[in-house]
Amino acid sequence: MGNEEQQMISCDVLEKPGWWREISLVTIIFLSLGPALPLLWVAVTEASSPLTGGFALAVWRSFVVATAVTGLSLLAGLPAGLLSAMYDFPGRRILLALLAIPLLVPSFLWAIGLSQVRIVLGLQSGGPWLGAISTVFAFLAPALPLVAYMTLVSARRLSKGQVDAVRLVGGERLLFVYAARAVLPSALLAAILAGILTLSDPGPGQILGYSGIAYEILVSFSASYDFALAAQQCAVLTGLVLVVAVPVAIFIAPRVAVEILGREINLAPLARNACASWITVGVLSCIVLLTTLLPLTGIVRPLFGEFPVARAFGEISRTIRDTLLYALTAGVIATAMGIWMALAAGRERQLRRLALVGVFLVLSLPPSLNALGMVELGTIAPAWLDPLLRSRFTVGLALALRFLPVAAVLAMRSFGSTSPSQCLVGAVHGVTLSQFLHRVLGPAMLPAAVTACMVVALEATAEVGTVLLLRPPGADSIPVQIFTVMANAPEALVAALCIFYVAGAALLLTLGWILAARI
Amino acid sequence: MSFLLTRRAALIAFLIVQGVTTASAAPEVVVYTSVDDVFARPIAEQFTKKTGIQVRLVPDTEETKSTGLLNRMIAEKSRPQADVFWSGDPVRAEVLKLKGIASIYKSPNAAELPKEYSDPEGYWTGFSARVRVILYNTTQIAKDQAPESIFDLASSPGLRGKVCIANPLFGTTSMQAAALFVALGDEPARNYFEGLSRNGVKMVSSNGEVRRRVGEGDCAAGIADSDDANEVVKDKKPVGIVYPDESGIGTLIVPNATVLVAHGPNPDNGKKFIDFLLTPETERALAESDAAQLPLLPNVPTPPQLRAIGTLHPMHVDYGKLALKLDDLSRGYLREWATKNNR
Repeated sequence: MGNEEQQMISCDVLEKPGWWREISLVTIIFLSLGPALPLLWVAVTEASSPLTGGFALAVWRSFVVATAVTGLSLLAGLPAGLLSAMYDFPGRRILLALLAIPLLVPSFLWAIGLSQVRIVLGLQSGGPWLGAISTVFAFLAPALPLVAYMTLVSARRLSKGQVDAVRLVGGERLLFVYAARAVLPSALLAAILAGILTLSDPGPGQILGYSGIAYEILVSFSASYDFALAAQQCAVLTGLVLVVAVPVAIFIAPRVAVEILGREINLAPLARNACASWITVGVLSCIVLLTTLLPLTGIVRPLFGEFPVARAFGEISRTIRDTLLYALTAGVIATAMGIWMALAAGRERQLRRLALVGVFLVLSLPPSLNALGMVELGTIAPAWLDPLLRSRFTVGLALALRFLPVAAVLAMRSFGSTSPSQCLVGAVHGVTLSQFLHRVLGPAMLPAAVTACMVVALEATAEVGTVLLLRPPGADSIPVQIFTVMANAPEALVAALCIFYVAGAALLLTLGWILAARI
Repeated sequence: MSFLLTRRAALIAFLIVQGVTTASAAPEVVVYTSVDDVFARPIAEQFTKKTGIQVRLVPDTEETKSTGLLNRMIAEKSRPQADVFWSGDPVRAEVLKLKGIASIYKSPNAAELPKEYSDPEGYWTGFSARVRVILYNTTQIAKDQAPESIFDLASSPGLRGKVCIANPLFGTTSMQAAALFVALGDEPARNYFEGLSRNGVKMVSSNGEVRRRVGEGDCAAGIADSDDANEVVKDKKPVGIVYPDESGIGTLIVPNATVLVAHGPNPDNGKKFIDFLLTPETERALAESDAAQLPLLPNVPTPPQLRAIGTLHPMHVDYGKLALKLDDLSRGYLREWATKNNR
């Protein structure tokens, strides 16, 4: 009977206001932040202060790195993304694919590569300036592609009519200026997000000699065994992030919310302009050279002496199953939650803003906060909950919550591009919700779902902190294995593992691209 | 969302859930270890081969130290997942004892081991050891000019700006710092660290980094462990090894320590694993590996490139006191020092 009633729900529920929307969004955001709440409570109730001199210095350093990464990624990523969106150029697909590689690789891998480059250049040691520059450089590797892609996606939403009109009035230069203005909010959001993400990643700073606030948290946690202090410092970090994130989210989210809402537009074709094309090729090549090829050169350097293929292959075979399981679990859960979030936000501007602000905050928080919270939960909970809180599933779930924003934005964009009239017409003809989801919305959103699953899976594979804290005994992922052995294993083995990983990420990216294109 | 609930999707979901939640039914032991994965894993595989018990190894990492393995054990205290903690030094083992996470286990195989390297109450047992050594680059420092004491690194004008040490908040460097504070007293130990700062010491991320920097000539000298020394010599880098303070406070010996975790899920298998670690077979394997650890059992040969424990002048340390001292230092002086020297 209940089932029949459910079958009778009309599909227009997806286009009408309803209390389920707010409840769904709040539930998802709460689920994403929930595991961190006990730790934040500890931080708030603890009497001592984390603001020592060292902590203040670390905050300053983090601020310097985050600001530099935000500024530089915007400065280079915006023009690169804009040029890629506007002009056709030789090797477009290859260059854009190469640009994406740093997004799929753990930041510490790039830091290892850069530290090797420093050795080659005789710059192993130096003052804080060298450390700061190297650290910013390491973080720029994923930040630049992030901004460039966000700009590209945003710029591709300019209509042919808009582009032609501006081009007619002022030529390519004016078009570039106007297009840059149009995409600035999205690019700025991506750049700020990239800057914020540097705050919670201790790896590059520690390897390259310019440690910030994430390192201080690590010291409190790993050296001093001081949960309360670590939690307090996490809370301060969260507070600082919120100071930046909330206004940004409030001011920029509405623009982005409108942008990801689908519009029926006649897309501007890629222009064929020899000069602009070569400039684009030059800009993208420079970015790929600096953010991908240079660190890769450093990574492969130790392989010139020997290439321990068999040993590296052994390590990969031991860890690949769990790596894929974590990735797949994270991808599936995040995509399902992302679609739920997209349906809940629907086309209502306020709800889309709420969803975007929520996911922006989720992505801004230090990943260790949720992971530690889950460790605590797993300890307190009864043994029968172990499959949920202390298993490979837990790792996948934590990774899914971490990367939910990616899936949510893709799903919201996909839902936004569907036509509301389909749903309303269906309702008039008595189409039920399940029929509509099965026959219309499902197929329409499938490419986005597959893409979201793929991107989350790849991002989850590159995440180290969460897996380190939550992996069940004996269930390492490949990046965690690299992270674990990199200090004392022979350099050639570490390099071989890194190369295998980068090659695997590139292969998966290519497969994903092909798959997404075929669906 | 019925499209997701097709039979095929349900089957895939079932397989994923099975894959991610199912535990192995075979006999197993869960070992958390702060010993480098490359050295610990072959020993674990040997144990499995011999006993048929699967070892689920959770290694820690030295360089970036973000696993918080010990913290994970502290967090899991009320319902631990680990059966054994195999520590690269006795300080972390002592921390577990102080936190009530260790249980007493006196292995029958420990009878031959020297008592000074184990907990007198039996909460942890020491075996194969490393020593803290000075590495120097032979292209920059002649053998007869090599520093003989760790105190030379803080006072020699010739070494100004040319010395590397790992972050003293972590690993064996933290243990050495605590040992100096216990052995010398607070004031002289602080003076030593201030001397290092004045002499322009470079604080790097790990002992492995010290090894690399000295090997590459970026640092003329540094303090690291004997396994790092073995690695750098094996790589044919121009590096010499000094066992420091032979005529002074002595060379710090850093034994491995093994702990049976209280209320672990497989205590019997945990005991078997500890017994295996304390055999001559394991000590020999660790000595012959790239770790080049120094055996504590009398009849196991020392790696030829290193000196036997019996020929060294050891620094006399009450290992039990180091954990408390280190706890104090990590929150106070050492943390400030590390911040100041984190350049």
